[in-house]
Amino acid sequence: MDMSKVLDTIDTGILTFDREYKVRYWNGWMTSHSCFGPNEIIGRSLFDFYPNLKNNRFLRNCQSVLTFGNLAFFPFDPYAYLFPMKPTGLFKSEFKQMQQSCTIGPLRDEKNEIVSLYVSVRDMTEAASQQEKLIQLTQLDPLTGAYNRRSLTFFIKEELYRFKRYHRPFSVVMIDIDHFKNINDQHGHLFGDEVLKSVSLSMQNNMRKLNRLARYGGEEFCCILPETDLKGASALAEKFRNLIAGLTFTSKEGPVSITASFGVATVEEDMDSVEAVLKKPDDALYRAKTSGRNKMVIAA
Amino acid sequence: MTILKDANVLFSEEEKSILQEVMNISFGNAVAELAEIIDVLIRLSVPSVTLVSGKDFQRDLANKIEITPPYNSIEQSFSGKLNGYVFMIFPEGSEKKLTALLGDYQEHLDPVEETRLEKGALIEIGNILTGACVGKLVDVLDENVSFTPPRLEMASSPSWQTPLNLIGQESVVISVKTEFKFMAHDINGYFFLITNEESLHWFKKALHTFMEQF
Repeated sequence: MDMSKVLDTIDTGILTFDREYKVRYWNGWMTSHSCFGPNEIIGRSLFDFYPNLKNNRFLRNCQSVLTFGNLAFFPFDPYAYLFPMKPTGLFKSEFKQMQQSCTIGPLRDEKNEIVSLYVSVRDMTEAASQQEKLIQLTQLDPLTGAYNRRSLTFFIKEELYRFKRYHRPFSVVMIDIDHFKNINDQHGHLFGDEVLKSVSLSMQNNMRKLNRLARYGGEEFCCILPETDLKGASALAEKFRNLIAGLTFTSKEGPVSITASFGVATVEEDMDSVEAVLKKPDDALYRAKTSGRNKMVIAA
Repeated sequence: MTILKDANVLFSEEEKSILQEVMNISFGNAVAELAEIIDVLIRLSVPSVTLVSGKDFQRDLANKIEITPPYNSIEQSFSGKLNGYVFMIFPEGSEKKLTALLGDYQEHLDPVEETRLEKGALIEIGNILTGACVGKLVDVLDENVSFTPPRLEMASSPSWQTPLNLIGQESVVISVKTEFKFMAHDINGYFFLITNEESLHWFKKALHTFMEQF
C-alpha cells in the first residue's frame, strides 16, 4: 500500500522537518489549509513561512523531542494554534484562527537515531467553540453577563495571592441598586431584570478590561480592581454612581430613574481570606445605604 | 505498606539492585540534559524504587507526599514494551513561578490570559520532565515508548483513582519516586513513575540485557 496517498488524504495536517528546521514533508491537508504547497515549502526553513514558531517554547519542545525522543503536545487549550490558518466550517466566525491541537514527535533512522521531527495538526475549532460556551455557562451570570459569585471568589483569591507574593494592590467596590424591591413591585420582575442588565452593561462598558464585575447576589454587584489604590477605586465608584443615576428606563407608567450606593475598600495586610476582603467594602456599602443612599462611602 | 512477599519471587535482590542502578543512571542522565533544554539547574533526589501491590498503592502514595492539597497535578501515560503512568505534583503557587521561569510572566495581564500561560507552563514542564525521565529510562534499556498528552488539574485534591484503575487491586507495580527541585527558583515537587504488571517480565529481561553489557 502506498502510505503517501494515505498521508496526503488524511484529515490531519502532517509535516516533517530536519534538525535544521528545513521542511521535508508537507501533506495535502497542510497544503489545503495553508497558503503554501509542497513545492514552495519543502527544502526551506519552517521559520521562513511561520516566523511565529521561532520562539523559545517551540524551540525548547523540539529540543526536548530531539534529546529524549518524547512527544511534545500543544493542545488548543491553552496554546490555541501553532500554524496560523483560517478557520473553516460552522465555527469560522467565532475565531480569527483555526484552533489546533498539535503534537511533535521523533523520526528515527535505521540506527534508532532521531534524525527529524514530525508534527501532526488537528483542527479543534469546534471543540474550542464548545469549550468557550461551557466556560461562559460556568463563569457568567446568565441574566446580567457579569461574572457569577464563584468567579468572584476565584478572582479575589488570585488577587490576594498576587498581593501577598508580589505586593500588588487591588481594591473592591460593592454596588447595590437603591430601592430595587420597589422597582420590582411597582413595574414587575421583567422590568427589574432589564434594570439589572442595563446597570451591569453600563458599568462593564465604562471600566478597564482588567477589572472584573461580578453579580454578588440579587441587585448587588462587586467589582474587583487589580493594580488600583483607594483613590482610583473611589474615582471609578463615583463614575459608576453618575452613570447609573443618568440611566433612564421606560415603563408603562412613564420614565423611571434609579440610583445606586457604593462601598469602597482596598486590600490590607491582615486580609487573609475572601470573606475578609469583602467585609470592609460591604460595611462601607451598609453605611452608604443607611446614610441616605445614592452615595459612595470609603471604608474606614 | 506491604512490600510484597511476591516481590522476592518477581525480582531477586540482584535484580532489584540493577533496577535501582538503572533508575539512578536514567534520572542522572535526564538531569544533565534537562538543564540544557530549560536552562535551569534541576536537582532530582535519588529515585526511591519499590514494588507495591495495587491495593496498597494509594496508602503508599499518601505516605510519600509531604505537600498538603490543593496542589497542581499532572498525569501522563506511556506505552510500548514498557507500559505505565507518570504523575507529578507541584505545590499551589508553583504555576506562577514556572511561568516566570519560562520567561512568560507578564504584569497586568488579563486573568484569563494569565491562567492560560500558567496552564501552558505546567503542561510544558510536566511533559518535558516525563519525556526526560521516561525517555532516558527506555533509552538506557534500548527501547522506545509513546506518550499520551498530559492531563492537568490545577489547585485540586486528586484521589489518584485513575492510576488505581489502571493498576488494578491485584497487580504488582514498580513505583519510582523522586523529588525534584528547580534550583534558584524555589520550586519543588514529586515525580512518580509507575509501570504496570504486564511490563514486569519485559523489564526483568531488559535489566539482564543491560547488565550483559558490563
